[in-house]
Amino acid sequence: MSVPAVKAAALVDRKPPVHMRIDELRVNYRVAAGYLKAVDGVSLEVRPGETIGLVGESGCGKSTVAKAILRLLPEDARVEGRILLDGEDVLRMSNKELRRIRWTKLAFITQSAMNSLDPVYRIGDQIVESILAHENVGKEQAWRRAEELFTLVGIKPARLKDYPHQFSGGMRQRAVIAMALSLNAGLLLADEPTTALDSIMQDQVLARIRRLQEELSRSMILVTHDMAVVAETCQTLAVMYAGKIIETGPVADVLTNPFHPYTMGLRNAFPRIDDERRQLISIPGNLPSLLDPPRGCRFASRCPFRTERCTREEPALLKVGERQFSACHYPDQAGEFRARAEERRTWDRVDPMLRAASAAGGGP
Amino acid sequence: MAPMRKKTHSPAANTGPRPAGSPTDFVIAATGLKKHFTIGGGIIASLLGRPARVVKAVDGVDIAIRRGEVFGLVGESGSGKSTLGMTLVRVHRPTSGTIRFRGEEVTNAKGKALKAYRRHAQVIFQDPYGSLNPRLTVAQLVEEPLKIHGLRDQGERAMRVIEALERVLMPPADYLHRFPHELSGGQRQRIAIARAIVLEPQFIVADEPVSMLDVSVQAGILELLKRLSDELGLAVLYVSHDIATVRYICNRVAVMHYGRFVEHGDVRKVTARPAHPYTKRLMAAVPSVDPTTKRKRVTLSEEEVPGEEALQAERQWVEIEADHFVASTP
Repeated sequence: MSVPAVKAAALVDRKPPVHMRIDELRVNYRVAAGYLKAVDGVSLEVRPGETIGLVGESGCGKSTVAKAILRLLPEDARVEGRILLDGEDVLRMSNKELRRIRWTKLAFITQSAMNSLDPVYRIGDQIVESILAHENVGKEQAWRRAEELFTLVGIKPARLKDYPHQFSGGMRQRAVIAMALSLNAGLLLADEPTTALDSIMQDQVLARIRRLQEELSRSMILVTHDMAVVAETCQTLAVMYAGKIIETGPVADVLTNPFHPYTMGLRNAFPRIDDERRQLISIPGNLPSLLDPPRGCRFASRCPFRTERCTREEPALLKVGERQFSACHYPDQAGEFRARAEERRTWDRVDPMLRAASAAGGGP
Repeated sequence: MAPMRKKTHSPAANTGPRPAGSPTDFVIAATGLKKHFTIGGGIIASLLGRPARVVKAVDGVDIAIRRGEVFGLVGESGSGKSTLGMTLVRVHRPTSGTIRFRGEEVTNAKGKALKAYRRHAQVIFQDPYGSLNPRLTVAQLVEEPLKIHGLRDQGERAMRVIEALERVLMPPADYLHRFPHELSGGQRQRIAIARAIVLEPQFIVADEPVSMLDVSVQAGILELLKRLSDELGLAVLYVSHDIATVRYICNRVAVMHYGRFVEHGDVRKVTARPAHPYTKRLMAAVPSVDPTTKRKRVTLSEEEVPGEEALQAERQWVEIEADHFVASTP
């Protein structure tokens, strides 16, 4: 299977992996009640060839970051900051410049990619169209490239002549991955690429993405709620909560030695197949309102280790390891927190705290 | 593999997850259950000479669930697990086989008998965003099933609503007058569960109840289901493609593939020592959050996992250890 991969890569102009830097990105959505601060000061760097997993739960702002990179935010969204692709700011590009970078520097796979294929055209024609629109090649050559890509994602090339409804969900998802790879863009942005698939299909699609990544070595951002997917696919992990990155670093470091209580909680909430004894623990409470975010740490209301300082003072991202950063006031106590976070009674304490706070009229 | 306590028996006689005990222990029990769908075969298709095709979504399943037992049903999309659940609660009428609810046959129940059965057999769906009417308040949503099933006394209805909300840990005073859009996904799913238990059913099918929820709230919902099963003596069929969550709440599990069970038994035994190639493949597909354990990526090719035809030949259960059965070719 690796033979066609090399061939496919050779058929496409090899574009160098992209360097991306996000500086202080802020995105506010206008809603009836005011401005919703969906992303609030996010900075992130993707070095050429690096794969980053952007992880968080619904409402944390991860998809908004992805949309900002693609310039697909609604028009009334207020966007501040910079998103530099090889030094050029995407947020300030004209439509013409955007067309130039989309698919060549920046390719993306959406969450419901299976629905992003046009039902009335053959899948092969759709892939060929995207190649012809961006590269100076003949139709025959483009079709050949599409055949190679299908082999690469594990679909028989003959099925390029099928219509989308003839494919299963997993096959359509893989077809869209083939399409996203068709121009060998320098940065691949995948937003929940496997969420709609069952676990066997997810495993196959991820294995493909991972192998392509190894063979073609381009930069990648994987946006997902699933830490386990990131653990197996990415080098770097960035955890988002309520519009901010609260912890980031090499995947293995963050997962074995998390410094932020939210990361600890998220890790414990994951069902594991390989550890019999471990309890599944959920994090009590809900995301704070992003219309009027709390003053201090945004996780404070749900954090079993919070102190008075946490509700008053916002923690900055502090360096806690070689390349690991965490936004908690108490990095020195992380070891103790980790041990206690594995016990259910630690998190059970949060609920009464939440109730007391809401009875007192303050709180979440 | 564990020493083979080879004890075989033909599935026609007695197969399926059926632990020892008298038949009345079982809340729900089905034998030889089949549900086939015919695709095509309409007027236009037959004029064009296209033959009708039969999809065997459920193709010969024996299953029995006891009071207070959470039974896990796993398999990939298209394995027939949801169809099996929907057939057991009689959303579908089975093609053949029998379904018994507390010993009484409901296989072909209609009209009043069917309505009476459905009062005892409830469903919790995957999508709490789609399954709750956005125009109704929490109080109305939870009350609705009581009205449908003819509980006329308004005072009693209100009492039952409050009790159900307390059971799912949604303080009634805070939530009675809220609308679904004011609730998070996890809270909505709790309301869906309250709707299911308000009729005091004895059997609940929970079809992927947490797969659309955030990870941090999934554990809470799973535990709630388990606790309700204990407290109320509910028989719960937990349907999921994720074998990792099954281990946390189920007592027993069956693995489904092409409309049949390929392995079943005690959940700890099946997940610790999976014996059927398909079960192994399902287990191997679960990613791990622990970066230190490099999981063994099982590269079972399509050929190693029996296909549909091979499965039809697999007609014998082998008990490889106590309460752990694997389908095999005779």
